[in-house]
Amino acid sequence: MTKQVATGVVAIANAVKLADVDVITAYPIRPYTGVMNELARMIAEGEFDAEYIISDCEHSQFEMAKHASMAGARVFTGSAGIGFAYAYEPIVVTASDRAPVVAMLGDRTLDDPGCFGVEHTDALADRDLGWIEFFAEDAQEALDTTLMAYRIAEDERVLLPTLVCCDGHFITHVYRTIEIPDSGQVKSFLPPYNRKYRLDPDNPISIAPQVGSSGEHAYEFRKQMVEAMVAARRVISEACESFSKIFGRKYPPFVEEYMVRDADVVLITLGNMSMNAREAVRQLRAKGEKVGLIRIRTYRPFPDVELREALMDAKAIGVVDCNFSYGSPLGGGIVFNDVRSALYGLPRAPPMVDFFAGLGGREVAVEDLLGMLRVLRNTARTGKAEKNVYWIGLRE
Amino acid sequence: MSFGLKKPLPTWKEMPPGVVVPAVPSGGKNVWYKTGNWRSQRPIVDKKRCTKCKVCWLYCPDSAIQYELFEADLEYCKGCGICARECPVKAITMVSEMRFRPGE
Amino acid sequence: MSLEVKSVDDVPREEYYASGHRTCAGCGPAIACKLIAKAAGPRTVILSSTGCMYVANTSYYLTPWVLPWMHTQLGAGGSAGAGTAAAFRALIRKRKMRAEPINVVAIAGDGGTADIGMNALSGGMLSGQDFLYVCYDNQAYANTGIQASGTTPWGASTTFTPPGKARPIGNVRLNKDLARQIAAGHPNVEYVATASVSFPFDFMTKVRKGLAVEGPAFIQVQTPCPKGWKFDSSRTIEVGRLSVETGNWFLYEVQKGSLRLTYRPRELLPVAEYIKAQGRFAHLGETDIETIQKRVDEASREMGLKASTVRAPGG
Repeated sequence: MTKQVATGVVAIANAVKLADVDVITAYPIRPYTGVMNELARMIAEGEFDAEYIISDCEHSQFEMAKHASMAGARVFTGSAGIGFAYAYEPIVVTASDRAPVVAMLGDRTLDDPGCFGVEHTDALADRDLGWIEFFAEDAQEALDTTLMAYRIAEDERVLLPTLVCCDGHFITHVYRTIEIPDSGQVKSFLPPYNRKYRLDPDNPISIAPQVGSSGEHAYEFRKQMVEAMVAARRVISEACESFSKIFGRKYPPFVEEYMVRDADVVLITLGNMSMNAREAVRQLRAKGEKVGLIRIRTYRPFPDVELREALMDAKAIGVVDCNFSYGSPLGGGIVFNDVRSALYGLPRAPPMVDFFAGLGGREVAVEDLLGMLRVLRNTARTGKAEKNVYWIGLRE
Repeated sequence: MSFGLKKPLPTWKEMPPGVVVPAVPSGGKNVWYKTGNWRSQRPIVDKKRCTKCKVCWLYCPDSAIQYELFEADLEYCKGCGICARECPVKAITMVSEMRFRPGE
Repeated sequence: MSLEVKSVDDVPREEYYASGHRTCAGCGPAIACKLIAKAAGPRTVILSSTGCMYVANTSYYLTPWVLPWMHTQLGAGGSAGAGTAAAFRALIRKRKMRAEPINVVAIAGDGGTADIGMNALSGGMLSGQDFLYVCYDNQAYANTGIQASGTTPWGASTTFTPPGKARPIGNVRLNKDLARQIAAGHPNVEYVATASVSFPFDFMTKVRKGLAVEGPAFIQVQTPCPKGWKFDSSRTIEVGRLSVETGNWFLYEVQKGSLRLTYRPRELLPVAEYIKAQGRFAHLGETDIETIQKRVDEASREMGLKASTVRAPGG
């Protein structure tokens, strides 16, 4: 194990190297490009060997990744923001082909306007398609999640592509001290990629023929995909368990709970803003207030069971949304509506408040989070949400 | 010769993941898609004229002309008529299906 | 194994693209797939883009392919080829797979290549990965009902370019020259060729040459389409032959930057013979055919072929 001061993209590049990836497809777009730069440097210096293809666009990039995966190679690719949107077609098909591609997403505001700051919409808008989605909090978690992603995606019970989402700038570009595991440790954690159904002249198969247009087969495939996501829950738990034993870092498989069990007020966050949220919770706890934080680590498969269990006794729940969903129910963000939907039917459903914050890359400061917790405190006292949706820091 | 084979409708548990289906075994044909009932005319080969040049076998889009027999596989032949048109000695004639009884 | 396929005796007997697909009777592209599969042999993987050679070709629970085969999106042919080839190259080099090379052939139609596929095709050629891209050119988006594509010739009737009182010509776009676009713009590509299903031995030899090259190769094969071009299903090979014999389509290969015709018609027939054999040109008048003849004459001269001396009747 070596310690190094590195950004999130360098951390992920190290994970890709340790996983002995065979094919990498690259295309530049801020803020994830750094990972491809670092991988190119590593390959050029002979630190590891992989086919590195510079593609002509994100669509081609993800197509190449999908096909390389189905030919039996362990693949890494990535994108950000509107680039990821360009790759929508192969994103859809990579999941339905069950190709276990692992991709890094440097979460970035979707165009227009062009903006390099973080927003989670690029990942969340595609949440229905069948990709497993993890949201890392910092560079170390990004590295660790990438290693776990290969194990989870390639598991025979799962075989779903996986997205490792990292906040643009706050994870991709910020320097942290990271621990890079030894390759020996990684070998004992990560088995080699051995997909049963692949393009192989010794065992010919046909992959993805046209199917009947009266619903003869597609319907059954949808069920298969759903069951794969269900199976993924188990595999994710197993992977985290094994990771903790081998590398000594314990990650909760689905949600990270911070002082939640006796909390009246709970805030839910995604990604790097959780660091500041934790500080805000600590400050209020020091004053005797019963507040807590839930950070959603795994967004798909959605942790509905874990959220219901953790939140059923809360008196007020707040969700911080760094995304948009125009015309949505209650005008709320994506995470707000997904959590609401998961909690629907709880005997004592706590009132929920949505806070839009951090969009366009604006920092979600501790003061902002303290403000949100104050609003939630009042909500808990009255038992009713005064407003469903707050726009933190909006100039109006 | 039987058409209208019911294509298999497996349950979701029986279907291999990722829309995977078996390849046709070497030397075989796609038994689940027999197109012989498409045609309205069929090629009749005059064996005495045939020089076994294999042009018909080469050009058939459905690989329905058999290599040594030089006869059309009636389970698959769509009756396009390329074999008759290209035969250099005009040994193949396209005959209307109306001249044959069903099942012939 | 010698690369050249000189006669039917050199054609492998085994079918790697078997019977049992729902292409039209007399389908030109189906013949192309059959010949590609025969030329490439068993140690090949095929990647088909969406189009007739996917939708009409394959079905669940079995396809006509004996070879390992995978679908790819329309326009992604170049990426599919490059990605698959990269995987095999990496796995062989890193000793995760035995070191016996595998042919990778990406098959796509003209729409999926000249229009939506240009991006991925160019990127795939540039990538330097070892695969062959074959574009079967039936000069339209045939599978969706015959719409004009980047290779649809001037004057053709398609559902997007129907001739009418206000627009009598039909398609007025001058089609792209795919093969030469690739050859001229990608200096690393060592083999670019044009072919026709009506010249099967020439085509199969070219497929083998393309596969033999270390790196990307591109072949554009003209495949007449009875439904799109509107002629009797028995005339597919005949129409393809006329296309070459009238100078409408040339058979050549480009290696190391130099173009060489692989078939030289001694004397070109008037292009009217080719035009009048197809219903998609039925609306054209004699002056229109004369326009086409002039263009063909110019192109043939450039190729070093004797331009047709027989003018259209009445000219």
